[in-house]
Amino acid sequence: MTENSIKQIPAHIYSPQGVQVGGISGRFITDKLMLGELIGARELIIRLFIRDFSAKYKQSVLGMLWAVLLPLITVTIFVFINHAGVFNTKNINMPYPLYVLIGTTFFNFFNAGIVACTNSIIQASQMLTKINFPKITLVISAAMQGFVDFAVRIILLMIAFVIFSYKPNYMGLALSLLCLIPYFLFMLGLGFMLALLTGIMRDIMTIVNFGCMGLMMLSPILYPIEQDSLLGKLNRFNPINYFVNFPRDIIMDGKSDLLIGFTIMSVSSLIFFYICWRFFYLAQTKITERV
Amino acid sequence: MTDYAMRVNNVSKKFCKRLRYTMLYGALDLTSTFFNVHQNFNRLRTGEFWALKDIDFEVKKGEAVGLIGANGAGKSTMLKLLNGIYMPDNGEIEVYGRVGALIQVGAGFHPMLTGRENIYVNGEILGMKKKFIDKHFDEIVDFSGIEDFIDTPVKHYSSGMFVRLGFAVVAFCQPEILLVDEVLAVGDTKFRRKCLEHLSKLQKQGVTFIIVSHNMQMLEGIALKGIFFDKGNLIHYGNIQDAISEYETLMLSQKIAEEITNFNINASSDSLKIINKWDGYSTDEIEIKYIKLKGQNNEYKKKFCSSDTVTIEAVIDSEISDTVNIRAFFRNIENVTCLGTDKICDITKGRQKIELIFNPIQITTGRYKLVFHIYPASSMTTPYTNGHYGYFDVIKQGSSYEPGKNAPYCWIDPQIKITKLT
Repeated sequence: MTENSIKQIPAHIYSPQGVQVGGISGRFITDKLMLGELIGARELIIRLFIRDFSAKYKQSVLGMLWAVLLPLITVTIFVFINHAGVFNTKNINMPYPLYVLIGTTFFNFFNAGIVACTNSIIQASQMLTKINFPKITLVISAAMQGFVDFAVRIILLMIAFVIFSYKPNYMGLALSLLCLIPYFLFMLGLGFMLALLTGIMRDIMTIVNFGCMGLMMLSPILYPIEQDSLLGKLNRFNPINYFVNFPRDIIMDGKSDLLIGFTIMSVSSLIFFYICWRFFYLAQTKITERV
Repeated sequence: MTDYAMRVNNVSKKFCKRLRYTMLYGALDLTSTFFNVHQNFNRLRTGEFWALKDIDFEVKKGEAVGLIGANGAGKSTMLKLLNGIYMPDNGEIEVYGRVGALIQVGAGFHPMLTGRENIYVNGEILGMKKKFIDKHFDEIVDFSGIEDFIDTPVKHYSSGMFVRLGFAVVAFCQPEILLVDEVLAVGDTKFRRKCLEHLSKLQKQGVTFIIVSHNMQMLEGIALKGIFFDKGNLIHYGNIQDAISEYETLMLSQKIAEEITNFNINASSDSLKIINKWDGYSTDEIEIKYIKLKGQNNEYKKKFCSSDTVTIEAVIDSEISDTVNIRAFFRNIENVTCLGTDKICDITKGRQKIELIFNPIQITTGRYKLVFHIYPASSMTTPYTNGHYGYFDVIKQGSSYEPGKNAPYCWIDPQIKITKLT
């Protein structure tokens, strides 16, 4: 065995207040530790992400094809419902299938991520009580699952643009990908919280599954919602409304009325993410024995 | 740098017995963490119990320490605290160096992934870098001995293969402190030997060991120091032999349902009770008045060390004078005959004392009964007397052996002495 790869490890002190690491002190001590943990864990995050991804479609006949089929089925269903005249889609200046496809693409990014995060800690409960490793890797790698589906759907979207010979705003399309950053942080922050809570109470899993379905129906994702209605007013406080509709608007027109709302939501997401991350960091040691 | 590998200062850990309280306290603890409220963890709430209480010990670099205790004594909890999986509820643990833990091998394996993929995943969970695994991949596979199945999903592995692959990964994680929890009990003999060899190689490299095991022989072979836990308390910290004998004493002191006996001959508390006697099997021409056990200094007792001289003292009333065959066996609690002897000697009419001197008694830790029969030397079909007597305890304890005289595990024929009593 090679000795040169051994690095001197600083002293670790475990106490009821959590872990202290020798050599790290002063102000922002928790932040330094959090950052150190994240940097040290980046390889593991990628590895777990690959693990979950490759395990997901194993022993499945259609495999990765599901990532293509599911959005197509969703779109078809909603096109049928729209055809029956259930929604008021007059104000949409793009073909409705494209509208639905963009909507599901952006919403699914949140939905898939948050469900994976919620289950991430308890799925690894066997491992948690046997091996000491940074628990944030579980949640982050789970959250990243949303990216795979997203990428597949974006390609699908491109094909759909060609089929419908629709010209999107290319600048907007590029910018919409940047919108994923605050969106991801918001989802990850929420994921941290939900993962911890599920560790204690399994109810959260059911609530999240059901909640996502409700959220999809109550937010203007697959159909527009009248601004002045009660639901429309409530949606002014719905982050998902901004994170889905702002990118969709700029893909369509290159501009959006939701710019201010989106900016406020993005900044709040950043703060929200920090608070949740910190909380997760501090609370992770209390969760292991209860999972 | 300190020369300590670990210091455990006044550490306590509590757990919850009921799920209901687990959820309640979990929610409360998370809330108080969120609002940064420091609560006093060092008291019990309803439904909680101390898994470990006020534990203090230090481990120097390069030492090997065995943790022993009954099931539920807190050994595994201690390991998990040392590994930082749980945080203590009181006190502090200082750890100096990279910790590797063999708490359960294959814990991070994903059943759907192949052995190859799992080596990488597990390795990185254990803190190795990808480059490092790349470099040692062949060695790991070689160590596990499952080359042919490396690209098979691990869910199709046999339990032995699973464990071997798991151990092989951990074996290469280059710890400075290695925590081992009863994992060597699996795998076949060949692989177990490989593991033990690997452990002793690490030990020579100066790795600090903390081992939990119920296999006292193995512990004695690896560890010099021992910690004995009982019900969450540290009872003994010192050399391993003392810790083991403390543990064994405790194990034996627990009540084992003794068979109820209807035959209460001599009620003296020194004498062994009759556990079993078959009526009509023996002629009963010899009557046993009592059987007592004597220690080194001729004191009557029922608890001995393996290295002690033990004398079986049987007082009999005989109606006959004959050459007899005295058979005495020690049977343990599982009814396995561990040691026995038969001695030909002459018995005369009347009361006499037979002494069988085992120097030393040799048998290992356990609770034993004595099977005591006297047969006519000419025929082994019908004994003069029969019976099972018990119980007495033996503890395997380190003591100085005198080569040739009381060599360990070497059969030494007991002496017999018959004294006529009037």
